[in-house]
Amino acid sequence: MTKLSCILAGLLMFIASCSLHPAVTIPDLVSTFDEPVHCESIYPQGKWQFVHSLTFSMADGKKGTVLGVSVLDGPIIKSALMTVEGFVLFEATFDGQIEVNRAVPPFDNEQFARGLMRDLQLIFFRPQSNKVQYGRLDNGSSICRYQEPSGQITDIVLFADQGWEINQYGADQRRTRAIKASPQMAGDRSGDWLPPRRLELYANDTAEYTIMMDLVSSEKN
Amino acid sequence: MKGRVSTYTVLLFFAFAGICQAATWETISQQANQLTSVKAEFVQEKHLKILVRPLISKGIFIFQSPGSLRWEYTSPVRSLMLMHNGRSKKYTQRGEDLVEEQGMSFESMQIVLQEITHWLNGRFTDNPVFDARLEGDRRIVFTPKDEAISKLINKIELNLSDQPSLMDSVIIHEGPGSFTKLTFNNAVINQQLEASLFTEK
Repeated sequence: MTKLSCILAGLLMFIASCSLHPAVTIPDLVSTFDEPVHCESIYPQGKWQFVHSLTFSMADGKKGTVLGVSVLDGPIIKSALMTVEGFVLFEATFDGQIEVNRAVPPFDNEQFARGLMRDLQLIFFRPQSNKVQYGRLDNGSSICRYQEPSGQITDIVLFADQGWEINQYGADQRRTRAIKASPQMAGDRSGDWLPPRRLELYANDTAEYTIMMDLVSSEKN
Repeated sequence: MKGRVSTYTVLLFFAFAGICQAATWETISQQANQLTSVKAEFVQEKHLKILVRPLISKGIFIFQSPGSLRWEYTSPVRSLMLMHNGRSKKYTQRGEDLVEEQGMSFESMQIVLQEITHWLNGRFTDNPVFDARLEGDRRIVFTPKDEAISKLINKIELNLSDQPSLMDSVIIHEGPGSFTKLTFNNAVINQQLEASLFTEK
């Protein structure tokens, strides 16, 4: 039994060492406000087409690069993943439910489509919950905290340099998704919304992976 | 995924074999034998139903007889496939670096690239993947023999140039509203090329 315990402990340590990121739990707010923080400013409005170069890293060390197309039209998201050479691996429309137009293995499974939709919704759409808390973290950043009835919490953190983060936590308060945006393109003083040059998505729930999303092009239609 | 990606790579290279095609089947081998090298720039338009405007990629394609290839995408994301003396490599941009791809899919690609060089050297008759037919003077249409492949690629059109041994464009039809068009320009043929073009990134 002792030997088994040692093996299990070793296995758990090995699994922990394979993790891309250490476990993160929800931070405390050092102050709260009644006045809303304008977290919706991170989201695009209207119709947009984005093309990103996506470099993904899995917990087992596998890496790859694909192109990702995201088309936003109101509540509808259309998405395609393709190789750098242009071969379409996955194409789907999300309009309340998922309609997959094309999926080649291993993207031809429901779990992948659901996970992709979840990631895209987290990146491009404001959380649906109306239970929102505004405040400040101990590093001085402003935060909007959205709490779902399920216990899931989504934090939007705004930094002074125009960068931002979205962190999503499960009911156990462990972080399951993190999206970090680099500051928007320098030199624009028009006040128009501009997409971040880079987004870094980290997921750790049913699967653990990191995706670096470098902006290739963006068009407002 | 990788297996399918390799399949696509294979199909594209089969398409490139059309560089050696001519207006009649009878002249194919003759013209291929005259071709020692091709260097051309290409512009790729990716059309998808969901895209408001096509996605544009650019690159360079280089072939030297008997079996050296360099197929390079220079924008928006770099990608490079090399073949020389029977050895193949593939690199993809990750961050600022071009990183060599490894794995089984690439091994399968090596096997197929070997076969493609046979095409580029004028050996067209043994095609296990496509049926080919000539349409008009300058169009060759390849349709998959295998139903599994036809789910990925409906057909490939090669539009030949009026200059012998060259082609103007390749259109790869993947499905309704989804196709890839490669247009070649600034082609130079039969120049002596440095071997390093096919071995170094």
